[in-house]
Amino acid sequence: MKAYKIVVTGPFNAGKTTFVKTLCSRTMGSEAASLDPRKPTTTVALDFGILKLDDGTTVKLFGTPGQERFYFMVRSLSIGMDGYVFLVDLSDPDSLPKAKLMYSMLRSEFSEVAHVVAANKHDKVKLNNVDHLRNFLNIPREYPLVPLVAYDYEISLNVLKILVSMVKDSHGGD
Amino acid sequence: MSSPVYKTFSKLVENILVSSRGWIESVTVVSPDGMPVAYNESSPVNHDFVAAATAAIGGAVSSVVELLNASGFNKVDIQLNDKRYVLIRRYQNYYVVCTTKPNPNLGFIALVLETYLSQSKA
Repeated sequence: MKAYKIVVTGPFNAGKTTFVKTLCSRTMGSEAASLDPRKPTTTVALDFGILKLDDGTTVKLFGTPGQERFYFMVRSLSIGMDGYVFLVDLSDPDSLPKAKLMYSMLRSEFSEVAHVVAANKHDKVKLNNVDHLRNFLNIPREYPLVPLVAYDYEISLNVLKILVSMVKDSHGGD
Repeated sequence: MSSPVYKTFSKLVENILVSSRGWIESVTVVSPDGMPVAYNESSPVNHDFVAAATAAIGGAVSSVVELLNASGFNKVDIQLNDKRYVLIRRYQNYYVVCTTKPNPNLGFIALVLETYLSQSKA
C-alpha cells in the first residue's frame, strides 16, 4: 500500500513540530536554540514521523521550518508531496500576514495539491469568524479551514484524516 | 516492492555492500521527495528516517549551490563523532546514502562508490 507524503507547514510558532510529535510515536526533529522570546527552540531542517491510520494507510509527515530564512527548505521538502497541512497561529494575529504570504507562495507553486488549513491554538482563541480568516488568507472554498489544538491527539488526527481523505479522492481512491 | 526501479536499485545496494568488504553497514537509495526506494534489509538503520533526513540535507545543500552559482553537487560526506561516516552521493535523479563502520577505509569506499555510481554506469 502506498505511503502518503504529507507536509506540515506554516509560519514560525504555528505548532508544526507539536502536530508531528502529537501524531507520531517516534519522530526525528532538528530543533535548535532560538533567540526569539516566544519560543526557546526552532526547527531548522525538518520534523519527521510516520503513523499508520486505522484503515492501514501509512502517512509520512514532513514538518518544515517556519522562519522566513528557512523557506527554501519548505520548497525542498514539498517535492513529491501528496498533500499539506497549513497551520496558522490563531493566538498571534501579528503572524497572519506572514501566514498569508507563505500560503500564497505554496498556492502558486503547488496549486493543484490537496491541503487543509488548520487554525491552531483554538483552545486559547476561538475561531469565531471562519469567513474572515478564509478571506484574509484567500483560501479557496474547496479547501477546508478547520480549528486545531495541535497537542490534542484526537483533534490532530481528525485534521489529518480530512486531508488524507481528500488526497485519496484526488488520486482516485487508491 | 517489485517495480523495475526497485529491482535495479536493490541490485545496486547489494553490489555496493558486497564490494565494500564490510566497511559499509547500510545503503539506502532515496528519491528526491525523501522516500526510500531500495535498501539493505539487514541494516539496523531506519531507512524511512534516513530518507527524510537526506531530502532535508539535499535541500539545504542545493540552496548553498544556488547561492554560489554552481551547477549542482555530487556528494556530501558527514563525519560523526564516533568516526563513522554518512556518505551521500547523487546518482541519476536519486541519492545513495551509505553509513560506514568507525574509522573506515575511505579511499577504498570512494573507489567502490565511484565504480557503481559513476555516470557511465547510470
